[in-house]
Amino acid sequence: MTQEVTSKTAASTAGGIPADLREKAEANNWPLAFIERALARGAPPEVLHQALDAGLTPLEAMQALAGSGAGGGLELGMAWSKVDTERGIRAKLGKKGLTIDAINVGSYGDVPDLWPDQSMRPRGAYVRPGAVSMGYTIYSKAEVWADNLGSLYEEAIQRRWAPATDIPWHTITPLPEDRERAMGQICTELCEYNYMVILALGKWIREVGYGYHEVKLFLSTVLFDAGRHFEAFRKRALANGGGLGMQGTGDRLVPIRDAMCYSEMATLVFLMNDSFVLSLYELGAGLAQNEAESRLFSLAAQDKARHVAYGVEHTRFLLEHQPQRREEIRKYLSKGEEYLAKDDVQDVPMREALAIHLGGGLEQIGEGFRKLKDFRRRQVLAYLDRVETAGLQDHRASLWPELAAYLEPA
Amino acid sequence: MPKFPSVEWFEALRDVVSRDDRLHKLGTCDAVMGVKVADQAFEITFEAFDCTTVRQIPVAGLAKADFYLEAPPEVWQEMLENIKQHGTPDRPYTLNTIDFLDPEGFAKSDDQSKKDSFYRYGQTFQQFFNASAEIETVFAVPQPA
Repeated sequence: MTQEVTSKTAASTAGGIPADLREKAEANNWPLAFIERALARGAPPEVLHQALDAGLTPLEAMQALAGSGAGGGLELGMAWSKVDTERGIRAKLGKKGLTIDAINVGSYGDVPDLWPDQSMRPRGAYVRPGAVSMGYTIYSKAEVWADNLGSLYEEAIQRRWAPATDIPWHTITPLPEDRERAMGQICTELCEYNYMVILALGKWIREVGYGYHEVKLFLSTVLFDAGRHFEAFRKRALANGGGLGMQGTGDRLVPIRDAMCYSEMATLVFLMNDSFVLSLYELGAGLAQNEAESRLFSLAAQDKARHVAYGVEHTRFLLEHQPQRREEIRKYLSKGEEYLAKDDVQDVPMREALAIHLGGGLEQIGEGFRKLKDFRRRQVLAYLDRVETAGLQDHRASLWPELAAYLEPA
Repeated sequence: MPKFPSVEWFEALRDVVSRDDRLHKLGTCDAVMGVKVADQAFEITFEAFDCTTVRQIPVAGLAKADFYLEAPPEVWQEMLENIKQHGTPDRPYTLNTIDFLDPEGFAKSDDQSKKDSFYRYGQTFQQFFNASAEIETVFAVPQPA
């Protein structure tokens, strides 16, 4: 709206509203009572014409008039548009469109090592004194960061899938009872693991300040993935005349529940447990009994491999910037391995279900147990490789003994 | 008719998947996949929504790929013939199943985190090989009788 006021002449009508102003107000759905009040308080008709021509709502016009002083011309502060933030930003479109990394231009791309701001201020926005504190407890970049966060986030958005419609559920045909029950048990425990991921991330995502929005965005996708995996595995369990099995022992989830810092949680979830779960998804895809399972497990494996990629890169970043925490991270892994090994022993339903699945049926469960040992070895080797890539060389020497036993020659 | 394996053959697949949005629909993929058939090696690069380049490389060059797929020629031929027959692979012939059931692994890499690209973009690689259903293939090494 312009500051300059131009004169207009108009004939008055009953009620004191000039005819042309009345006509314009009615055309813009402004209440006439508002016009009457504004005129009664000394607002010039020309100013009201300007507000209508500018497309303001009555509320916006009222606010502008209130700021202008009784009877005076409109004065807009516009101070908000002059704050000292970096301007002239032009992000470049790439082959993947306008990505979260592409808009990290200039100062907006500076991710500080420390972000003590407790408010919801977006990184790069002007500080408003007295903004509400959200009580974040994580303000160290090394605690949460990984250099692949932006690309992982975009990939998660691009590669999302819908269990209801992207799985060819119609391809599931009746299976022998033992095999259906085994799949139901496996799906039951995969649901529980994904519950834990939701719980753990839900707790920690709120602790991270908005200086690291890439972290919060990526964790949001992991939350969404975990919900989707829970949904998909529950659907598989209930899709073919079987049902859910027995609740798992939950031992492996205890260290995650009890994690005292973000890096402990991230180590246990993304580097450790997700590594073993990824192998499980590979098993599900590799031994799929129908196209539905093949697609389900391979789509889930895509997501899980992405989560593991964060685990590896986050650990690598943390150890590069805080190398004094190396033994601390090893201790988190040891604790996680201990509970995983305990789970492996005590969770008889899962062990037997996997043996049935690997063997091809209850009658072949003996062969299945032998193959389960091979599979565990494969899980442990892949896990060790990822841990070492993350920067913890020679972790084999620290591996929990019950897991290390899988690596011994048969 | 392109011969498998050859640059021409992999380029034919690339041309098929580039004709429509089948890879785009699956989402972005940034990976370098190697393929080893007997003593021949090829490098297929995926970037964003496209399969961008195909080239033949020395076998030693496979180390630079994120992972490479290696199987005897007869396993490759069985897989591709199954895809040709059905349009998509039967379960024993999916990349995931071949990999899981092979004690040495079908997907290989010295770096597990790079090898994880095989799982992370699995649907894209499967779709790439599924495109072989739309071309005619001559096999360089005939299947043993």
